[in-house]
Order: sequence, then C-alpha cells, then structure tokens
Amino acid sequence: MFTEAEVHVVSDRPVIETAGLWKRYEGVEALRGLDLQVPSGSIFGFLGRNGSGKTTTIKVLLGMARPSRGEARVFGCSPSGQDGVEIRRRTAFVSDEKDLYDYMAVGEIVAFTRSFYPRWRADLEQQYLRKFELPLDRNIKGLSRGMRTKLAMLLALCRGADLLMLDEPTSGLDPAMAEEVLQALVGHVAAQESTVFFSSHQLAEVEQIADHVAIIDRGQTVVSDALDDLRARYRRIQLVFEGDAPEIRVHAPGTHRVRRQGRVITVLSSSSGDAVIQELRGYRPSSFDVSPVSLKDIFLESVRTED
Amino acid sequence: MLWHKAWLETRWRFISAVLILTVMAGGNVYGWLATRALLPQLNTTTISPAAEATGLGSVIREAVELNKTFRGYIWYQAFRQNLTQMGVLFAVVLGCGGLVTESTQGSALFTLSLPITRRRLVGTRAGVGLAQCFAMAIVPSLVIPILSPAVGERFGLVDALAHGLCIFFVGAVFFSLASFLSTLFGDIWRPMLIAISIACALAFASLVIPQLRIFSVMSGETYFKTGSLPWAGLLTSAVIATALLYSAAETLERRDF
Amino acid sequence: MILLKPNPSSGVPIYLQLMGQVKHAIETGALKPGEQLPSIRPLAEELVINPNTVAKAYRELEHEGVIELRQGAGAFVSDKAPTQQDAERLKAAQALVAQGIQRLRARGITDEEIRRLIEAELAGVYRSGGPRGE
Repeated sequence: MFTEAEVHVVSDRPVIETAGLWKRYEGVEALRGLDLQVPSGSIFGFLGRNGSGKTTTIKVLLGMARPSRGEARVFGCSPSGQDGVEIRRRTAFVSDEKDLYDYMAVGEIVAFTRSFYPRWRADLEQQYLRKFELPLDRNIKGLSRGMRTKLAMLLALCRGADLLMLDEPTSGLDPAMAEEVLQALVGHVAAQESTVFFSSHQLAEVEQIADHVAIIDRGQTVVSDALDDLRARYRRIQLVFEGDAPEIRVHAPGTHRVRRQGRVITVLSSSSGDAVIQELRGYRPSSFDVSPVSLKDIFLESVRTED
Repeated sequence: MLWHKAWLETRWRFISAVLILTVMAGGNVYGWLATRALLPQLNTTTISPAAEATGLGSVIREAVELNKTFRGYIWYQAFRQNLTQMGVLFAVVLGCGGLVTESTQGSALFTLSLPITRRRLVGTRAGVGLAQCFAMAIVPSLVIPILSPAVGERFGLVDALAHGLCIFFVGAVFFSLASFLSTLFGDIWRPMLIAISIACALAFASLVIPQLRIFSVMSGETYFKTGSLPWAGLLTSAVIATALLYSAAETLERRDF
Repeated sequence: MILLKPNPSSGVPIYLQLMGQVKHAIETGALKPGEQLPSIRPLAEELVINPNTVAKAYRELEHEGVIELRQGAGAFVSDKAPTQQDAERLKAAQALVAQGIQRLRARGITDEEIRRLIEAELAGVYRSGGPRGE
C-alpha cells in the first residue's frame, strides 16, 4: 500500500524484460532485437507507429506467439508452457479491439472470467459495475465500443493482477470516457501495487499518467527512459544570426537534427544541452533560445524516416 | 467455465442436429405404413436374372428384399441412409469452430490471455463436442423403438443402442477431422467443405477398396446381418478420432496468434 | 480542491508543477501551517496523474522543508512558518519582475520574446550553473 511519499516499488527486478527479441511472421520481421525493461510498480507507456511491433511485443510476452530469437521474461519467467499459465494468472490483458464473446451477456462474461482467477476482487467488481454503469443482462453484442472498453477494463481490474497489459486502452473513446478509464487505472495502481504496461497513440495521455516511456520503431527500442528524465534531457535550441546562418557542425553527443534555414539554425539535443549550448554559443549568434521539447516532438524525432 | 463457453458456442447447432435427426428417424418409422401398403406389389415384382446380374440390378434386388420386413426397412432407410449421411454432416458441423475461428472474430486474444493451456482448450471443446455427438447418435436411434408400436411393429431397444453406438464412433471420426481442420484454417467453410469432400471420397473409394467401408461400420451392417458389433471398425474409428484430436492439440500449440 | 490539474504537455515535469502549486497555495494562505495535504491516492485519482509523481512531489517538498511527512498520518504543511517570509520575499521578487518586464516592454520587446528570454535564462541556470557570457 502507498504510505505517504513511498516510492511504489514492489520488487527490484523488472516485471518485464526482453533481450534481443526477434519475431518473424511469414517473412515479415515484426521485432528486430527488442530490448525492454519495465520497472516494477511503474506506469509504463509504450509508444510507436502503427506496425512498429507494439502488439507483437505484447503477444510474445503473453505466450500468444513464440519468439524467433532472443529472450522475453515476465516476472522472471518465460511465457511458454506452465510458467506461461502462471504469468497469465497474475496478468490482465486488454486487446486493442476489446473483442469479447458476443454471445455472452455482461454478467455471464464476468462470471466466466472470475472462475479463472483465485484472487478475483468481488468488491472491485461491484464498484466498477456501478461506476461504469454496466447492465448485467445486456448482451455484449449490443454494447457500444465505449461500454465494451469499460467492460474489458473491469474484467482486467478485478483479477487481482500484478501486471496490467493494455493495448491502446482509450482508442475510440470520447475524451470524457477516456478520462474515466485513465482515472480507474491510476486509482488501481495507487491501491493495488501493480505495474501497468500500456501502448498508446495518445501522447497527451502518456504524458499525463506514465512515469516511464519507451519508443519502438521498426521492431527496435529507440528511446527508453523515465519520463521526467526525458523531459529534463531534451532541449530545442534556436540560434538566429545577423547574416546568413553559418554551416555548423555540432560535435557534442546527443545531438539530433541540425536544421539550417536562412538566418536561423535549430538544434534538437537529447543530452540536456550543456555541452551543445557551450558549443553553439561559440558561433556567436545574435539570439539564443532554449526551450523544452514535448513528448510528441521527441516521438516524431525518434521515429522519423531517414532524410 | 470453459465447458459452458463451448456449450454456448455450439448449442444451436447441436439442438438443430438432434431435432432434425430425431424427426427423420421418426419420419422413417411412420414411413413404414406406406411401405407396408406397397408390400403386396413388391411380391409380384420380378426382376429378370439377367438384370439381377448387373450391379444396379442386384442393388435393387437387395433393396426390395430388405424392405419386406420392418427391421430391414428401418436398417435400410434410417440407419444405413438417413442417420449415417446426415450424421456425418452434423458431426462435421459440430466439429468446426474453435480458437482459430475465434481469431477471425477477434476474441481469441481474450481467450489466450486466460491462465489455461491450449491443450485444455482443445480438450474441453472436444469433450463437449463428443458428448454432443453421442447424444446426436443415441437419441434419434432410441426414438425408433419408442415409436415403433405406433405403427404396429417392434424394434429392439438393444438393437437401437447398438446402431446408435456405431453411428457415434464413426461420427466421432468426422467430428475430430473437422476439429483438426479447424486448427489449420481461420474460416468456418474450408474445414467443413474439406471434411465433407473426404467423406464423399471415402464413400466412393469404399466401393472399390473394401477396407475403407467406414460407412458400413457406421450403419452397423455387421450387427444387422450377424448380430455382432463391428469391433474392428469401432476400434479403428476410436484410434483415428483420438489421433486427429491429438493432432489438433499439437497444431494449436505451435500456432502463432 | 485547491490543486489544479497539471498540464502534461507544457514541458515542465508534473511533479514540479505540483510542487509549485503547493507552495503557491501556502503563500496565498489557501493552505495554512499544520494543515493536512490530500493523500497521495485520492489526489492522484482526482488529478488523473501517476501516484508516483505525487509521491515524488511530496518527497521533494519535504526535502525543501515545506511540508512534513508523518508516518501513518499523512502529509502536513510544516509549522516553521516560512510562509510569511516566503510571501514577502516573493512579493519583492514580483515587484522586480514587474519592473523588468515594464522596462523590456518600453524597449519594444514583445511579451512572447520576453517569455523566451526568461526560459532561455532559466534553462541556462538549471544546466550550466556558470556565468553566461554574451
């Protein structure tokens, strides 16, 4: 339980760990040497373009697909065989499409899911049924996407799981419903000592609730850090010159994208800019601006196609 | 609750199968009335020895002889024809579906995220399906001795059960075949068509290769003619069905979703 | 609830925004010395932010002596009454800033430019720590 200001760490070992993970599907390489570490007790945002390998990663971690090469571990165990069953007993998964059994009613699927989890929380079940306003006798077929998402969230949150794996939890939801879902997540993490691993395209949401972020591009990790550290490290530096901007070469490490346009040079730095700033000042610009970089720009910078 | 899920997924198919087969069996019993009325005419029908020597001629001869008695009529119409043919069809229909089909509908990932092995999934589905095949074979068969007095005849309960058992064992083979094919294809049509094609192919091949007369086992021909069950055929069917279900489990185990 | 929802996209870490809000609340008297702050979990839920972030903000505030964390009881504004001094110090600082902005505006510098200059200056102070030459 959270005592005041205690950092929420359940164990020192990463809950999810992959090393050099490769996955090939019929000639398509979905994962190409993915390295990932998800700290215990974190809310971990997993970002990437469509087709970058996010869903494949989750499938491998849950034993739905076998790695072609490399290692994947959840709770320190391999996701295959009987260990995989034990992992899934402690994990709650919500898929992107949130597809459930059309032929069941809300109450039926709750009872069905409950039967597999000895740590099922009946109190949370009542709480979320009320909060999400889910009618027990309604057929899943007749539920809107928003209701289906809430039902899927309920089924995930009541399992007493140590790890929640969510693929685009708020996709297709209006902002009010999305906030409801996020609120349920945040409340759950605070009370239940679990880890949340979620993929999302909603960068604003990720910035809101995640404390760690990883960006995946073309099957590989390109960024992985605590969100606060990312915010502290990335800087956009703009230099304006009296005449045409000179050709500059920046040697400091962590420099991305140096763009020169007329009298202006813009530099994106991912290493808190100290060295870069000193180096750039040497060019004696007439004006010198340093500003923070949003997660969106960090993302776009990390996954852009080669110039 | 996996049993419950498998039941929900197949209950309408199962109920339709039992109803249709039962109605057919009952219909056959009542059809005896019309056949009985025709009997005097059958006795005067002659088939020339030359015609009888041809394949078709001997088939017609056999049909005429069999339909002269209630027991023969029932065996010919119900067990050998209707229940065997429709039984195969319904066994295939029951065997289709399963996890791979679920993946085309989307809920497969939910199922796969549960703390169960894929073997258990296949096992549960097979268990429910085989129980359904059993009911589908026995209930229509039992209707015959129950309804026979209504047309003034008698049919042995034990005989009906024996035939029902034969239908079940061979039906199980086709159920398992459809189950196995369903782990290879995502849609529900290909397993069905392929299984039925195999059934037809077997029917034709058995005219030439006597060892393949699986439908003769299903109709309980040996039992009808000699009073003893076709033990070899039943055992072979059980072995083949088990092997097919095992293959289904192994195929599913290796599949990437 | 006196604490406003932080802006996740502003580039300023959320825990810093929270710390700023708590300090501001203390200065304006919305939070008095000895008063209890909201618990981590309900606050995180209310603002829909990561509970770890709230915890971090509270830890830093304790480190700075602004609040006290009492085991089992919660977080409380510290009694040391730095609030009065802080309030006065900040009033004086505010006057300086107002002066500076007026003078810059008098030179024809727009508000947007002023904001950027301040940001750059702050970034330099945070990171380099050394004298800035121009």
